[in-house]
Amino acid sequence: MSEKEILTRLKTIVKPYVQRMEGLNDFQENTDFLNDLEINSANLVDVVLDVEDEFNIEIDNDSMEGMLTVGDAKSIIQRKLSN
Amino acid sequence: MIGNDIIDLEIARAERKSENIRYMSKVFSEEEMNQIINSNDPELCLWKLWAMKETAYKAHQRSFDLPRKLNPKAFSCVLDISNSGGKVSIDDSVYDIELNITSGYLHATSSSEKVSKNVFQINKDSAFDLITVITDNYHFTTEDFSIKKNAHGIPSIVAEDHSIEIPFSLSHHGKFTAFAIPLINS
Repeated sequence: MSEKEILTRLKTIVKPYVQRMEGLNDFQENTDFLNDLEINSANLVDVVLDVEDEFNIEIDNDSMEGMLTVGDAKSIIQRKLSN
Repeated sequence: MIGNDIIDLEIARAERKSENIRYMSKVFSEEEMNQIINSNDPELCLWKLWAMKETAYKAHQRSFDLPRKLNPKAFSCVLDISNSGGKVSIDDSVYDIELNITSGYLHATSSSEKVSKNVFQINKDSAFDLITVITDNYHFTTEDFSIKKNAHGIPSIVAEDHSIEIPFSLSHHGKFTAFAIPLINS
């Protein structure tokens, strides 16, 4: 799966939880789920579950711990898909 | 160490997280999950435990100047029999947490030191000047202060000449904004 496709799918996943919509205009690897998109931490767990469903992977606690930016999520997805 | 977390119960209850086993298993230990499921009000019990974890996380992060992490399961909660608070442990640290619950919100604060805590219901259209509210608490004048976050995103209110630095903890959810600041002994 191309990086571009992963980012496109991720953007769709996070959208319902975003509280700062301007943050979506510039959606790239540095985009921070909490600071830039203002997703609250309880909903960030929802994002983790939705990513698991969308990409058919399992995100263990160690990986979840570091899922704070779009780039973090992308790397975790790539790693799990290549396993 | 200071920490606080506010939950807008109207929004939180609508998410029906206590019926979502997959969600709960990412956040809670088996023991905590059983406590939630067997409670009279599972949804409220879940948000109590969440707010306790989040508050302890903020206090712990400030205490050791830690980078951010999404690791709610690493924090384990024990509610007091009174149900109005409890203890949260992480590694070798234990945090005492106090809970204030109304029909509208649930507010958790760390209670190891004396803090001033405030919950505001914010009308989105009204300008809310947090610095004014906080500096009024200390009888300082407002213009010389600003909110600064360190490299790990931990906030303080800092005087322009750096003579005063007040640690504070801020939380927003839905229509509520809450903060906690240390009380000055006078």
